[in-house]
Amino acid sequence: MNTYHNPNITKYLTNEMTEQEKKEFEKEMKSNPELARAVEDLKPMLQVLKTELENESLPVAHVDTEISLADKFRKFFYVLTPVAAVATVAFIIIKPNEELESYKNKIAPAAPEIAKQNSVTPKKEQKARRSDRAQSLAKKVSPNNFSGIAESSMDMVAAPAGTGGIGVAPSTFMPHPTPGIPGSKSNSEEYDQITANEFIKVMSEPLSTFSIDVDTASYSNIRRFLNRGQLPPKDAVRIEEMINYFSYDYAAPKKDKPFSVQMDFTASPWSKETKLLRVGLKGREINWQERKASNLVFLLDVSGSMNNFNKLPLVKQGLKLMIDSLDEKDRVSIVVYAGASGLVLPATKGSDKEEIIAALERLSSGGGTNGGAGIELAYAEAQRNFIKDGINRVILATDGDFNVGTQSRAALDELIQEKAKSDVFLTVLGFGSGNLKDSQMESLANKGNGHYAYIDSYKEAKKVLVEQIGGTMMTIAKDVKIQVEFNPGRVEAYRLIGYENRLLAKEDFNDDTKDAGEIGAGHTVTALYEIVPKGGIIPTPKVDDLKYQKTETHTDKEIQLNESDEWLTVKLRYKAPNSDRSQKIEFPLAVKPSIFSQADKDTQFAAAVASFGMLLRESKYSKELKFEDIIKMAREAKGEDKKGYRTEFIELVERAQKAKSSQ
Amino acid sequence: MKNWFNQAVRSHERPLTRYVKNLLRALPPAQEVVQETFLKLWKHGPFEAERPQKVWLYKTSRNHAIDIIRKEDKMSTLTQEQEEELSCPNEIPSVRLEKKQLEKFVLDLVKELPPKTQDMVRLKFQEGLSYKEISSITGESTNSVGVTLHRAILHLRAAAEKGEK
Repeated sequence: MNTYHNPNITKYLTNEMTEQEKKEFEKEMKSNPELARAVEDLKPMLQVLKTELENESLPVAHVDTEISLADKFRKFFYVLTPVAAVATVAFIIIKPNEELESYKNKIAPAAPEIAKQNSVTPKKEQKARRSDRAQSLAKKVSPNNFSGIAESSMDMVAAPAGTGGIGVAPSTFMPHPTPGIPGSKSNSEEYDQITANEFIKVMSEPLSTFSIDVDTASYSNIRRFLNRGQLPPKDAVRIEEMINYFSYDYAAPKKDKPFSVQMDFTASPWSKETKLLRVGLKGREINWQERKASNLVFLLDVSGSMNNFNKLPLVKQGLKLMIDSLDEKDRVSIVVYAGASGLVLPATKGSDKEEIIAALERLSSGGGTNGGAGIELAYAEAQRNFIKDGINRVILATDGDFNVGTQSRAALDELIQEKAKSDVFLTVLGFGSGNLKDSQMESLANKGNGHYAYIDSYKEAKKVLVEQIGGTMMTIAKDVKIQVEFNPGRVEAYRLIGYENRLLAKEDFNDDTKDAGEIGAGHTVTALYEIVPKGGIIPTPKVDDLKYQKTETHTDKEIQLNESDEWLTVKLRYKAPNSDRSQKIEFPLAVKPSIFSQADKDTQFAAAVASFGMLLRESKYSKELKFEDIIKMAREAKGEDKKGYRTEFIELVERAQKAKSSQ
Repeated sequence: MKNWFNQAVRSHERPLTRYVKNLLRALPPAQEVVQETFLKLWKHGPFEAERPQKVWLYKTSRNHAIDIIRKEDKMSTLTQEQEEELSCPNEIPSVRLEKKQLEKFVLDLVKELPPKTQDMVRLKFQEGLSYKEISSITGESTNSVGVTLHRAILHLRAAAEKGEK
């Protein structure tokens, strides 16, 4: 054998030899200079290999903080009877084969898909979404990538809806992809097109009106894409939901008030010409232990499209987490829907955890998706067990793909709008990938006095259903609207960042029949305005100067200015959760803008998040922005970051930077 | 009661995640695999000694990762019986290797190794496992582990020299 090819060389150099072997090998080296030379030659190679590999960067810790994980398990063992404990542990050990399916979804951006025929154009009067729905539906873009395997074949079974039960999808998990077609799966995610807000001249429109939005779904959805090394589709990026994913340290509201309002005014970090206004709302904190009795109806989508590890199994895990914080005064019912719908668990005390968990365990997915019938049944169940002055809420867990029965989006919206009048609130939990009907779910939450969160992981389930359960379950004010009046004497133009699909007509502000967003206990809501001071230059103005009018659009009206040092006034309207009449509060802003580096840290961080959103949306106002700047901005404003969410944000920006550079 | 477990997570989670990430070529699924491995470890209970625990952690995670790879891509080489032969020089090169120059690209070279070989190289040099332990994790004989590793070293040595030129 060739000396150089003697595997004993490596064995010797890695200390794998027994004393005896070592002695013999060393003896051989002495008698065979070529062998000794080979050992000498390879030695540095092995050393470098070892140090370099050992120093390869380590991923950050991810396993649920050790202690709490161990505690959680112990708690389960102690709290529950032995039988239940076994069941509880069983759910955590997810079937390995299904588990990571989603991550292998390699979505390639492809041709826009023509919007589904059955997404009927809704009525025009829904002014809450000024962005013309008909238009946006027609332009619906979905990153589409067809190769018929597992999930796609399931989707196709359940796709273009008829009316009957066409649910032939398998009732168990699809075991393996069809042989021979490796790699990616189909993708039919749907997002509404967002047309970013432009600068508006104060002279032509001094009022800016919108509904608050406490949804956070867009951020976790973006995170899912970035964690896979992909940039999210532009229309999946809703900047206000990114900003509102983070909690900010706003002062607690005064006694009896449902929320506090705080403003911060500073220079814009991305443009020398403009200023940045942050309006922050904070809902009153209510300790979950001191909550009112609750009547919760879980409405679970168990259709074939939920057949994926990060859908139904994650739904079960998440709800089990939540059930842990319920007790005797709570009632839980479970309604499921697929091709048909049914009551799986009639109202059961929150303390009967075993029973609830057993009911969840029995669920399996399969069949089409008749969401409409499920919604009817869930609301009927909520009404039957209605607790006056308590928490009455339907919690819908779905991927949003409704395709049988009352299937058109407009019809579903109408149904939920009708149901929302019953003082039953709605939480929409979005799950899964590849088939996510983001637009449908956001719209449902919007119309149904609810909010929408996207659950991409066990960690996120914990955030929404355990850490922030108060905000998720307890509404403290509804139909919260914001109207800002700008002073034309001080402000040239303004631009609301995000909230594109929450814009309201100015008349809607005082119209109590117009629906708007809800705020939950402890929720924070943040809105940012970019402002051009009087006489400043408006970045990329939307229209040319008028040819036939001498000056600004509305000057023929001879606007008389009331002398004031104030820049603007923020007005808020809200209703108590069980009231139909709104109250109004106002806050004027008269302070000078600070320089950005001296702004509140939370403002700085929110600005970093907004910048990231603008970059992901390829906003024309983000030309000056670079990923590095955002990382720097976020790092400086990170603060204590106990839960690590802000650190994660910085990691996501870095991922986006990488994904962008490899494009 | 929980001390042994916290200890295990603390000392193994990050290297284990790095290892699985290199098998799956993506971080999020690797994190999930590792999380599940630790849940299994919790269920399994403490080991008598540190080494068998370490081997168990790598073996469990690796098996899970292979299931995923199998499902995703039937042609993946890590799960294949045969692996393409690495090109190895027959003679000792005359040029001496300078460590400093080697440091720069040795990682890139490792990443280009065929999956099975790379797996063993990582287990050996990155995770510090012995031939015997690697044999128990991968199911290959210790002899075959030794031969594969040595061939990998020769190949890397040759590639490093080429890269330098």
